[in-house]
Amino acid sequence: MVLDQIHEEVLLHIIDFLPQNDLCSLSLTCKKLNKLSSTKLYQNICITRLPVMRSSRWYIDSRFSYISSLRDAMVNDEINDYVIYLKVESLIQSLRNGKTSLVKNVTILDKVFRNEEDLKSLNELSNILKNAENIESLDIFDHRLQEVHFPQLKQIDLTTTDGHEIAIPEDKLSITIHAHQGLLKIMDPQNLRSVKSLTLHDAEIAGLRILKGFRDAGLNQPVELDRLSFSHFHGLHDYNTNLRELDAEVLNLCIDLRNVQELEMTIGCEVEDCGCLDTFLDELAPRFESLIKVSLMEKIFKKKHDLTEHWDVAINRFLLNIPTTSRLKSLIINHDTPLYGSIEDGVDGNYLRRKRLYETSLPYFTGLECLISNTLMSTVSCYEVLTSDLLWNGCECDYCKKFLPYFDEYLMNHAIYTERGARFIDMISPKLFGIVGIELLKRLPLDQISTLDFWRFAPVEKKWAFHGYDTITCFEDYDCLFDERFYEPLIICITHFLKPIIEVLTTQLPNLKTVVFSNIYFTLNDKGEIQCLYDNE
Amino acid sequence: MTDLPKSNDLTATWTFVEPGLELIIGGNDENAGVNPKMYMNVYSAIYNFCIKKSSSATSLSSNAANQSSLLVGGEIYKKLSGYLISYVKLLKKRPNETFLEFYVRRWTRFTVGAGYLNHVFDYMNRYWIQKERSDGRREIYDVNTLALLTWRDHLFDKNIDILTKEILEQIKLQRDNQVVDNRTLSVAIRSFVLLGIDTNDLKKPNLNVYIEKFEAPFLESTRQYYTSESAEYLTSHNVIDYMKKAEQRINEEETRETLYLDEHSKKPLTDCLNETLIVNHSEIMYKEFTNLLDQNQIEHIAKMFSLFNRIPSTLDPLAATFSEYIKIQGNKAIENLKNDYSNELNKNGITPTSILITKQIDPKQYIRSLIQVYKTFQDIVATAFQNNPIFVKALDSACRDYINENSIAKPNGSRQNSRTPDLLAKYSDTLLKRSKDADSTTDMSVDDIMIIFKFLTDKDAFEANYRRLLAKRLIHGSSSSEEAEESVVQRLQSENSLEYTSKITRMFQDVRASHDLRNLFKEETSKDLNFSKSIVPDFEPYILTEMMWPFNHTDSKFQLPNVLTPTFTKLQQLYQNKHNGRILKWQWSLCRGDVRANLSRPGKAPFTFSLSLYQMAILLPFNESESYSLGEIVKLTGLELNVISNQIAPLVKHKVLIQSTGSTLDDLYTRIKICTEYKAKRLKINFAGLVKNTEQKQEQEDTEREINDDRKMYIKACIVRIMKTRKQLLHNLLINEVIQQTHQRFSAKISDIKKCVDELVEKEYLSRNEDQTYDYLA
Amino acid sequence: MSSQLIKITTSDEETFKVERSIVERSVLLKHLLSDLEYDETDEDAEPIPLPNVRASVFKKVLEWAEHHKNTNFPDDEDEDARKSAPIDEWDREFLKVVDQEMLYEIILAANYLNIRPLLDAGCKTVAEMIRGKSAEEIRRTFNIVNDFSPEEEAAIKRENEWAEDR
Repeated sequence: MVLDQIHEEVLLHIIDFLPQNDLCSLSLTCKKLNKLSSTKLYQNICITRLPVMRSSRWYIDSRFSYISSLRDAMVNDEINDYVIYLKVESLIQSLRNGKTSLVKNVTILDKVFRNEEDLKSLNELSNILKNAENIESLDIFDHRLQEVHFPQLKQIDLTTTDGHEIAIPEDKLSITIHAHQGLLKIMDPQNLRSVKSLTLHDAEIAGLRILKGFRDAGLNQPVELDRLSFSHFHGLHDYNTNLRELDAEVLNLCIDLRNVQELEMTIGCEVEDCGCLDTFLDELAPRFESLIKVSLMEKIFKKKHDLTEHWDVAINRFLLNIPTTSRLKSLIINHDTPLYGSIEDGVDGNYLRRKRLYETSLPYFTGLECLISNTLMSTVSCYEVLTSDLLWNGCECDYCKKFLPYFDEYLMNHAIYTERGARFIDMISPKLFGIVGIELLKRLPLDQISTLDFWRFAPVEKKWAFHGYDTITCFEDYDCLFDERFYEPLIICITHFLKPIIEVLTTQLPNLKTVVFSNIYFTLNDKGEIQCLYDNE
Repeated sequence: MTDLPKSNDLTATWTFVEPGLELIIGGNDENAGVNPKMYMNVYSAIYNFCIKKSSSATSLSSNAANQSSLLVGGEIYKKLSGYLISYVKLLKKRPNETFLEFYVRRWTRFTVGAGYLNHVFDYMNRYWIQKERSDGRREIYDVNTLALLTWRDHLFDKNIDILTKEILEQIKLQRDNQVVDNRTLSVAIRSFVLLGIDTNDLKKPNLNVYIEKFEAPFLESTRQYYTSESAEYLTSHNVIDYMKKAEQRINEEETRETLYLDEHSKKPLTDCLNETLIVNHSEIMYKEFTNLLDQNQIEHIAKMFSLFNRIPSTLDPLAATFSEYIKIQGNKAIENLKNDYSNELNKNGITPTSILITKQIDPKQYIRSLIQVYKTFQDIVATAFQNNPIFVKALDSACRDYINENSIAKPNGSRQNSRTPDLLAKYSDTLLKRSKDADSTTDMSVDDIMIIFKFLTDKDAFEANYRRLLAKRLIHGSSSSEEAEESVVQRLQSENSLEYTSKITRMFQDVRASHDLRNLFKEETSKDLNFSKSIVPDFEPYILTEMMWPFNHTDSKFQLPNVLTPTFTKLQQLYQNKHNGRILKWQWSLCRGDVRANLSRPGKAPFTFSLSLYQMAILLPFNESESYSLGEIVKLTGLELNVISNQIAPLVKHKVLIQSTGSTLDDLYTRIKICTEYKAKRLKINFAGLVKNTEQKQEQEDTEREINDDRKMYIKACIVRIMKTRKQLLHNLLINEVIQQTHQRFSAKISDIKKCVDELVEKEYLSRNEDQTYDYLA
Repeated sequence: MSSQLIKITTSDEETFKVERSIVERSVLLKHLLSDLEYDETDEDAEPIPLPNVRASVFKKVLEWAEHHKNTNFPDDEDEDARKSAPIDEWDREFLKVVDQEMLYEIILAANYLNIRPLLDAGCKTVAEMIRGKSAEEIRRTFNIVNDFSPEEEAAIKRENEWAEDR
């Protein structure tokens, strides 16, 4: 028996696990495999500025065929624009030659091109896709591109601007609503009935008022959803006069929470003595009977420790109160941290209290397979005691022993401009790791894709050259040697810092298989070993 | 395993699997044993057909446009679909069974078979069908759904009328108490649910078919059935029987619901039953309610409640009737009490006027009458109405009404304040006062006080009266026990407020402080033995804060007997040393003391007289001389003649003092002589208590005035407080707010509030505007 | 009761006696057992034939199932997670030592018997064998005959140029 004699449904399984380059090779081997590889190669396409990270162990990068710039860090923006342009043109050519019907999902991320001229090619691409009879979704995140609505799409983005009416179309599986300021006018909310996944974006961070809009438009029965994503913040002095507080009632009336399996909430309240965050979460928790994937994202403007701690307490109580605490599969918790590290009153005791909180609640999530915090390093950088540990009291392996002193040297010779003092101060470890936290966050375009989609998108290669941010300068007499080359070693040192934390987690969570901290991916195999996926020596 | 067909031959494959399908789906009746071999053969044949086709489809063309050709299954699917249709179409009813029996027998077998079928065709489900559906071919279904849809389209839809008709007939038979097969009904009705398939989303349960085709006709037939049954039943039965019947019917239907209806019908069925069995006959039941109360038929009342309680909105008229009924009963009880008492007065030859009765009625009997009514109906609320809040509220409002306003509390419909607070205070006094007759308080309790207290509108009046009586108990030491007193205060405090009992609490403090003072006095005076002889033994001074005690201080003219002066001066001195600058005013009229009277026959023990201080001052001079004229006594005591004649009366009456014959006690020349040898059965005699209290009436009026003054103060304070925050307010709103803020203490009369507003305007705290508003002037 | 084993006969007429919990790793057989209300304690219970699986292959499948007796495999709800996860280390070793022919047969048996985790592991193993190889290397590894003309090959290369991520 040879490979091409295995029947096709099984070959398709195998092909499912191949990333694009291997599909290209396989398609050149013989006609049958060419046919099968092509269905996969054209099925899901993602266009992004930066190339994705590749790993021979995982299959995350096999979900999409990516179009991106060159991996060589030394090429400039213009060349990258040109490379992407050529690839898009090549894709358009192939689609014209009969591949359009293979396309099912296309994602075009924001800022693919520096040069606006080149956007034309993307518009051309979406025009061709109008004729793709099997296309299900076309996600366009660059607002400079034309909006697309064609009937065969199962997923749709709707945008409202000041008083402009939007109608919910029939027969969609997934709907995203972007609301801007002004009154919401929604039509045909009964069409939500076919929807499985609903995402509410609101420019004033008051997603719940969109639900109120549904009610006002006559939605009288809760919609059954598999997935719900929204953001709502109480305490912003905005133009939203419709619904400010976190209101469990409106959510309850509009959505049948019993069926929701995946939930993404960006929430917060910083109105003194309000308590709507607690009431909201307490009221909702018992209703989520099917929840298996939760993403909780903090929203605060006053970066104060007690607010953050309050938020932590509130969400932990929520997680312990939902009926599926022990059945949760994936848990994502992200914090809204201050820009470059160091939170107000970020003292030892405060950090230990938060740590204890999580140590107390995590063991209840016995079924947890995947734990993610995309902002972990940013949170760590709030506490100087932790960043100092990382740098000076941390890992003692040869690698860290070799590299950590370099970063000590970096701190000794750099200064950073602070807004608050309006002056340069010496670089310190919380600031360094605060910036690294931000840089790591850029591995995933979380401002565009949902944290719940984390298994779909591979992280991108994003490096940092230890300068920039317009505010970091070397001391005058210092011959600076820091650039991108030092970024990888720094991340590797961080992985060594994180591994002991994960080891503790594995003792508490027997089913844990995947941990992602600040977009550094770790996996636990059946032998209990922790492996870092991308960032290795 | 050579018996499997050639994998690329559709006809051979189908011919091979078809006999197996016959068995699986139940071609020949009941579960005719499918064995593992047959099961695996069918699965394997389908598997082989699907995979061989797909792998032999290799390199046909590199044009991938038609994806469906990648996976194979369409031909088998078509065959299967055709097979199912002809199978379902050929199903035939046996001659001796009803359609319903046939349907249920076949459906039961068919659904089991469809489950099997789904599994033996699993390979097709997993690949070809899944692919087709994900490519948007919504007319392709997994095998189980395909089977159900075939059943729906080719059997169910065509026979739905007869099916529904027969189901409803069975239900009607069951309602008529015939035995029917619940399982048959349950299976048949369940099939309506299972056949509601949303072809867009197979996972979503869909009740459309059930609701439209079964539930609606079912509800309609239920409505008809019970509308006519209940109407008919009531023509030949009374309301009580009807209620039993309705309850029984509702229970039956609820069992039915769990036996074979879908969860969804629960509410509409309940609504339908409530409407036909209860709401439609509510008037006749309301009418019966008063009768049931008259007859004290708790059990039936409970039944009526449990019926109406199913529809909360129907409870309100019932509660209103209930409340009205309690009011009448409350007033009736007081009326009876009043009549009894006036008969008694008649017997004694006194003409009973309402006002007289109100003044003289025994507080104990009065309060007991009030409480009895309350307890009777509270019992009904608990047993028949299960303490339902609506009825608790009805009871409370009725009680508030008859307790505060009845023919004793407001005789002749007077506009005066209710007498109930005063009578309750007196009741409390009876309970708390030490009494010779221990049995007189056995059927009284603090709980009863609290019950009535809760309903008083004029709580301040109660407080004032209570305090008046308490003051006497305290200074005369006539309380039965300190604990009892304090427990009442505690209860009042927790029922109302700390502020409410503040004066009372202060009174207790005064008494305690006075005890300390007494001890100090004792200690001080015992140091000097000589001196202590000149001091009154067991002296008990009371220092009372003037504002807290309900005594009207008047400087009465009085000459303290010399024998008491050392004690007086010593205490004054001691107190002033301790609290420099405090002014002590003496309430002579309240003082009492015991004296030993050596008036007995020689050789007998002397008498002890309990005397008021005034009586003491009158008697003491007789140590010196045997007789005085009243004029001399006036001189000696410094008292007014009318006071003396009042005080001396009991002494004269009991022959301690002998009045010269033919004289009156209001004549200065009347001579008084002391008896030489006094005779009495007891050795200790209380004369102080026998003084006719002229002050009582005065006191009551004082209390009344105090209450009214306090109210005015309170209202004014309220108005100022409100206006201070509001700055400007409409007249009506202001009145409302004041009423709201005062109702914990008393029910403010609007005229009083207006008066207070006027006074405040006069004093320029407020100003009145043309538009009916007031401004606050700081 | 639980000591009673289920008899399963492979295509080459070899009969295996297997514990019920292990048999039920195959969704196909699990359904069969429940549909037929199969009672293994019945002495006369018919053996279950597997007309599509050879004894040598079935032995390997059983070995795998025995090892994973207590493994809690993620259900199919989260397909993305299941697809992205790396191969179990034990599975990797287990499938590495068999020859290519046997690997294919295990994959086919897993597919036939509907054992999702084994099918995934097998397919991922094959995918790893393809990864990082040129077309020519793949052909050599898997004995694939090139049925393209050089012109066709060039056309395909051009067609997929956009997808080359170097």
